[in-house]
Amino acid sequence: MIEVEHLSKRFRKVVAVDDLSFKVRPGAITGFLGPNGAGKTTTLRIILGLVRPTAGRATVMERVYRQLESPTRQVGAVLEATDFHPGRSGRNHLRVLARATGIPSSRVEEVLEIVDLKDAGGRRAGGYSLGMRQRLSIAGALLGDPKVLVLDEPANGLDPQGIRWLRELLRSLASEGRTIFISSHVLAEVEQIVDEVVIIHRGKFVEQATTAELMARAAGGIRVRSPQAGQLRTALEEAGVKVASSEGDLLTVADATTAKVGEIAAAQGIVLHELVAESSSLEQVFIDLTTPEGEVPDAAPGS
Amino acid sequence: MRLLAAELLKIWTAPRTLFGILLAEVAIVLLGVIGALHEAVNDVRLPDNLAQDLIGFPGTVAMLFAVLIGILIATTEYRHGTITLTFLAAPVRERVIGAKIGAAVITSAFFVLVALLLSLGIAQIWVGGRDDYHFGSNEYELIGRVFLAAAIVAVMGVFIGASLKRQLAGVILVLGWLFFIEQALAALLPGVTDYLAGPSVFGIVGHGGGDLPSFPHALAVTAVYVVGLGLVAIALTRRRDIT
Repeated sequence: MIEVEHLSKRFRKVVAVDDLSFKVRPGAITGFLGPNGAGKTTTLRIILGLVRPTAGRATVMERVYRQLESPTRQVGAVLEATDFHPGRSGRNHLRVLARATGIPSSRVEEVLEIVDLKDAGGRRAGGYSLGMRQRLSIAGALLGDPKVLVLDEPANGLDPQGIRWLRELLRSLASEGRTIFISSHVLAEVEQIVDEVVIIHRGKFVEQATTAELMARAAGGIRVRSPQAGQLRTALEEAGVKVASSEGDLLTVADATTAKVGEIAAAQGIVLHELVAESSSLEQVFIDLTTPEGEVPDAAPGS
Repeated sequence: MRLLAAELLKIWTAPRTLFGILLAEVAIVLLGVIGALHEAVNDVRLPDNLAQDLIGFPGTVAMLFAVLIGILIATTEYRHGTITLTFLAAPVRERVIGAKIGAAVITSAFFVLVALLLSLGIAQIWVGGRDDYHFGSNEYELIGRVFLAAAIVAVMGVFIGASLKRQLAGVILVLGWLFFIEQALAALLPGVTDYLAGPSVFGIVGHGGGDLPSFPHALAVTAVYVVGLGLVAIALTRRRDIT
């Protein structure tokens, strides 16, 4: 549906995108993640034909955007929430877009209804709040009833209520079989709705995985503390449970459940002072993936 | 046609700037025409070329505003960021430039019409009944030439705006070119005058005194400018990254 092949973009001395390749599955919601400045927006703009790649290519439905017939009927895009003439009303903004693409004006009222802006449609966009502007952007993207939606940080500036509204809207759009490609630098914003993520950092591909795969990776070991740590270690190893590390009275056990460790200890009459399943969050996995070894994370995503 | 309709709707739904320009044009034309007529009626006999002046003056004013209209239509979308959405709807960018040219030509024709109606309307009321006020085929031809020249400079304005993206830069370039660079070139190299943009546009109108180039010559020179500016505008617009 969306395919990026060896894509590179250089702005003078700055390499924004560096030999990036990935595919977005049709009919799924795919998150496009990376810290600020990772090259997400540049990549999306190349996909949408707004920025010329230095090398490689990006296609939507096997065509570069420029070659799509009636592109806004096939691909809807949400980019900046400030792309409005401040003196034009929200309704007229959509009417202009509809006129340019031959979409009937009746559709304008439909999308205003979908994004809950019908009452504010007659007001000048310059007076809209950031949340209303995001809704208007989304209305513009939905105007052509496209099969593919490309959204660049659509939750930016939205309050928690707005983010919840956005999630519900995207879920409902995805349930209609649309392909949604949504960028964010905050995994927490999208982790509840995405099926898959593409992670990039400093313009380079880092990882493409389903959220289930990431969740599995996020699962950590079991921390167990015992005054008979040596005896416990032997018992666990005899039972086929791998002890990842041992330090004083503390053991870290991999590939086991707390129940199993507890049962082994009980069977041997070993006293336990602590038995905890450790797990890192998806956010931590994201930070780990986008922070090279020995470096401090760029920011605190999700904070 | 869809893109042209969308461009006209953009103007119609956010008309404040162009309305301000129209008011400025009306004010200048009113002052100029009333001044000219007031002076003319003091003479025993009206000047032979009064009607031509009453077309030429507002026509010149409207032409100056036409280049401004062209620049505004081409640059406003860059200023407000709406060019992103326009290029998403029409990724073949030459088509967007074409639609903006159409909108600029229609809008500039409206500006010329308002200026001429105002000027000739006042003249009709003031001196229309006098035997020495002549209005005939020469005047109709002049009106036609004013519309043509205004359309051409509006197209040039679109190309300049599309090349530079910035309104102020476009206006400064046009004014600087017409009033400083071309004046200096004409003074230093009198032979090039007939090949400069300003005299050529006035040559198309054929009114304004001085040694103006002939209509065919002026049209040919202006066409070269239009094609040159157009090629630059299309090349820059096609290559431009919308970030």
